[in-house]
Amino acid sequence: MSILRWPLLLSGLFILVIFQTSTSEAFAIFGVGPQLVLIVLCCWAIVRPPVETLTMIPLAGVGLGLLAYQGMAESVAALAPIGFVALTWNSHSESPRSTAVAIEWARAILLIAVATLLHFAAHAIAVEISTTGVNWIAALRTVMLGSLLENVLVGAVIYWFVRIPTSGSASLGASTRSVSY
Amino acid sequence: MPLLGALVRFLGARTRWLVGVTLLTVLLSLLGLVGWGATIEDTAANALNPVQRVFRQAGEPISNLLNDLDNFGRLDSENRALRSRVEQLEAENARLREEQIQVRARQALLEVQAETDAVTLTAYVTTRDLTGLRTIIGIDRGSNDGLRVGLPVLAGGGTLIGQVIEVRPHTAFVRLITDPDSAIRVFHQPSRSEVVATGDTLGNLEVRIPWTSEVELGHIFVTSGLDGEFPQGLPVGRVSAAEGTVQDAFRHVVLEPIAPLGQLEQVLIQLTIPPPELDILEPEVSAAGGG
Repeated sequence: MSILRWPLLLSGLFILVIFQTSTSEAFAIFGVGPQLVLIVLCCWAIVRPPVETLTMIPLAGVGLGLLAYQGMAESVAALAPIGFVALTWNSHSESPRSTAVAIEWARAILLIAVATLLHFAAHAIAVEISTTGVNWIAALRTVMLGSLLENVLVGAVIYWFVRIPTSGSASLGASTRSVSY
Repeated sequence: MPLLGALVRFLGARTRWLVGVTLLTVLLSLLGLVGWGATIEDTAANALNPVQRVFRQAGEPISNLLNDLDNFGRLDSENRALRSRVEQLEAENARLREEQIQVRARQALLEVQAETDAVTLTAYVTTRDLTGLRTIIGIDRGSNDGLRVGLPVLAGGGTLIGQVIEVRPHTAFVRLITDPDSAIRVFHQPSRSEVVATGDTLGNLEVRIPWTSEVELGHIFVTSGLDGEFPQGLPVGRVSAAEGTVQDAFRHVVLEPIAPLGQLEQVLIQLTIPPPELDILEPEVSAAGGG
């Protein structure tokens, strides 16, 4: 697993980025498509060692920037808060290895919610700077609220798709997590 | 080097990572500023277009299922066919009305030359803006195909959906008419009042129109063509709401795009723009208060 870990991770991330840039709109429930890359990165940050998430965040940002309109720099900047929150979180949550899965699931959802808000804020600031401005009331009502609800709902399910296959030796357990990498 | 090592050890993991990501963001911004970013993005988008198309097709059944659920069991294929048909009929209706108005104004203008003479190019929609804050799509045609900034982009039914805003060799980006930065000069078709339709974040367009123009739900707005950016007479949107009181100087009208902008798969880029027929418009525009 250790040899194949990074190729598998990067391949999975590549497929995820392609998936989001191609079909995300088709899965819109509240008017906006789910941000699958963000959701998976948040779940990954909770379930797996931080080094993986922190490596994937800039790569995912570059990938999304390559294939979507917003550009690479904006995408990396918008995803960066996930890493910051995940690192902060992990450094203050050295809980016993027996952390209940339900608690971990709730933490993943909370991280998705926080990351969605920060992600929206980063993009909104970029749009505010680069265009004639953002209609904040409409953006908060439709884009932010829609994204928040959709990401949390989808994330509640996606968590298990990340948690179950990765619940081997390399995953989880506060004792195996480390902030340094 | 020992100093650098000491510095790295001194900084925590969080700081090191943040510094690294910040440097990467700055580097990517610089690449964008010097134009290399667009080249890299164009190459990547061009190379991955076929893969994205496969993914889009693979995701279509799930998308259809969600649509079915959303529509309380109505078949999505039927819905799409009907929407497409409605769009075509409305576009056709708008075109016919446009022709009728022009015939009244000047008998010589019996045909809309713009539609027959225009050179068009089809393109696949490859991506969309993922932030939800802009309404921009990416297409798989670029400057190598003759695209340039400013060209109008139409839906299959012949309705205006946007304008090319950025062109790369193999790809381009289109700002849809509902984007907050979009502004199009349009005619209220019945009254011939010329106004500017701007996009909003809610997926509609907005216009402020004088009270002298009697606006009713369902009325169509078409491009005026007077800005030289769009051909004349392309249907843009239909009135879905009108607000305001007679004390207001202008009535606030919300237009719903005629084309289903959320379901675009292929678009039509109009490569030539015929000049507008100014003479047939002047009397009626002035009669309507000049917009």
